[in-house]
Amino acid sequence: MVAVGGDCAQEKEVVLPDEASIYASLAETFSAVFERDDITLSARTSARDIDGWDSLKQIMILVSVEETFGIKFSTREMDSLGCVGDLVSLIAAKATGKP
Amino acid sequence: MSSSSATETASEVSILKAASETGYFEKSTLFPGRGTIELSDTMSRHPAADMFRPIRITTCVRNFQLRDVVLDTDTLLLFKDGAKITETSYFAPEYAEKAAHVRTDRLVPLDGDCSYALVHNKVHGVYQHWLTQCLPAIDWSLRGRKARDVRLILPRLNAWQEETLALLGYDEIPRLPMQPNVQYRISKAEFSEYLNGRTSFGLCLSGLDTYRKLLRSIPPRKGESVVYVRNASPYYGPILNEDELVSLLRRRGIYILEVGALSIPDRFNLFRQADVVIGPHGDGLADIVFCRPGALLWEFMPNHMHNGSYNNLAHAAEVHYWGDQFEAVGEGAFREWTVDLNVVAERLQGISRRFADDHPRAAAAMAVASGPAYTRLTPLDELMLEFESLGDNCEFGLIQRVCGAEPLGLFRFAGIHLPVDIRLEKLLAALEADLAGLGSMDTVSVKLEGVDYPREFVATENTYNLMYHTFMAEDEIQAEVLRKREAIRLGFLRRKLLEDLTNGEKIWVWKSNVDVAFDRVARLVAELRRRGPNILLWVVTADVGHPPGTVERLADDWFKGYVERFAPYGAATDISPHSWLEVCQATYNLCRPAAADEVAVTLAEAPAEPLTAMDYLTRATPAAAPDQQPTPQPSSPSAWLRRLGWLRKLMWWR
Repeated sequence: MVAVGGDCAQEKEVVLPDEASIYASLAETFSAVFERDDITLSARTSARDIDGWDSLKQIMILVSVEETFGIKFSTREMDSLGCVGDLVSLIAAKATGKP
Repeated sequence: MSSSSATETASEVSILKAASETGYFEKSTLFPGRGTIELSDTMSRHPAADMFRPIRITTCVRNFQLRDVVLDTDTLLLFKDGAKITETSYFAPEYAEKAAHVRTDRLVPLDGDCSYALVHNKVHGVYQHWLTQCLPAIDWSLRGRKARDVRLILPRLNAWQEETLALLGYDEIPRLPMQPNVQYRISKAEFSEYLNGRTSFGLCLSGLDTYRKLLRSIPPRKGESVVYVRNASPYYGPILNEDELVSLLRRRGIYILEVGALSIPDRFNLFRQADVVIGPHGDGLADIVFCRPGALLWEFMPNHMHNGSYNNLAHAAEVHYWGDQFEAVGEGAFREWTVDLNVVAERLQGISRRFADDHPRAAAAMAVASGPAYTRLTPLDELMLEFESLGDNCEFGLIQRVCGAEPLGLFRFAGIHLPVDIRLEKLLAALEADLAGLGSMDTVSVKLEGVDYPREFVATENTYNLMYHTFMAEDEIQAEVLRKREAIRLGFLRRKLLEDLTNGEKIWVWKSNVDVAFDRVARLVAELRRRGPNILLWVVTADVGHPPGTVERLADDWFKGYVERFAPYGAATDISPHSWLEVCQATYNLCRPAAADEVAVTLAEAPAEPLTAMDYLTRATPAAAPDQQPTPQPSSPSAWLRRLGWLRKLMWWR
């Protein structure tokens, strides 16, 4: 995790996930959703790489990610996801945008 | 890179798994081809007759980027981490394929700076395969590329193959001079689906664009109107009376094309100018791709042989097709056969009448044959993401799946499980209530359905009477765990549906297998309008006044589409997708005009030059001598060439 904050001592410190920690968290999510522990995620991993990654599993992944990172995806954001790299970027961007 | 002993068989991996990147040379679209297909009674009754039906969806062609692979030059197999890439085994001899594996003693590392494009296969020396598989692979691998970035993996080529490369302007592209009996270790390689036969029995518009490119490199010259293409050594058996047949055709003024008689440019030009091409099934008919829309291919074959590959090429080029089969004698794949000259005489009369009617232009014939005309064609996977089901059942969700689209949607697979005649009102009530409470744990239940172990869990939601398959079996998950999961999922999909309705970016689809009055559907439209700038596509079955694929605009935001039939409620997977896709494309074109400027299509355009074929047949003019030099004529860009603009728009580069 990367700690960021302003100069103001009063400002609440926000802990943002870095890319490695997002991948680590996603690995746990995928392992739980697909009930497998042999999935290796990379930025290019997409539905064609993992057996059984259909729309139902996609929902489970997104729900789990929303819960884990405390974020909400909009419909447009969900529709724009093509691979794990997109998801990681989106999580990072949304986390950065949080107060 | 792993190695193995000579006796070990390599494991296999699919190219999708092996590739570091997958791109598209072409994505599937609808194909409103206007070429007609007419089969003899014998052919149309044959169990394999489906091979000759018009194909209405084009083939997707992917290009794969591969990192750190090994190419075996004897089999042209590619290996990734020691595993054979399954899709590269096209026409590799079975014995060699089985024995092939990575051998460290044969490995030759290649320069890692550039990409090596494998652009030929084991049958590259056969004219049809070179023309329809290798040349498009070469052309599309090089489009938009700098020559220094890529090397073509090619063996020593025949003179005619080199000639085709020169016509495309690729004769100077650097090549890897392939050595036999070695294996190359390649850090960056490319392989496209043209090479593995995937496109051979489909329709490939990108390939067609390559043929147009070849034609553009050759000045048009006067040619022959009716051409008979001899097949010197058919693999399925010789025509016993071919001399008699050829004599008859010569007497009718038909040009007889002998194998090897013409140079490549003259051959391409001959087909470009031909109005009718006749011949037994064989390699030489592949040049039908150079014919103008509205020309005719008459192919015949013995009754022990069925192969629709030239029919498909003709259909792609919008060339009409006639098919005949004749009796063969003997057993096995190689049999002698005889062409019925009475049938030939009848066919020639038919050709005379056809062109006498249509003369001087083939436009009339094409207009009669035309199906629904689209002003725009969208890749089907992208097209189907523009739509979202509002329920009834999962038919539309399955059609999206057929097209490779997997959108998330509450009603995609979930239906309102109530009598059909009240489902619309229940949907309305649910929308008016914002689907409040959907996803509450106490409203969701799961139950096992089926008889044989393991049975499947089916989920039900009792506020809005939703029911859907979970695709989870009793041996995979506990009921209570699944119930919690489904509750979360329903809540998620509710949120998404409400947001989509507010955004108004989807085209909502609603259908019912029973008749529903206009006023009742109007209430749904009103509810959608209340929520946002939504559009409704109301789908019904075709009737006398509305053939399958028709779309009516009932209002700016309300369309009515007509499909061939719906899947029965008891068998939702029994779908008939084609007219659904036509309806979706037409609706999309009507309600998304902002994007319509991408492609300007004029499907009704006719060939610029008149067809004069039957002058030869009706007057029995003596044939020109085979060695007669064609005389140059002024170049006149044909209207069909101008349509290349929209073809190019359909191509997807990487």
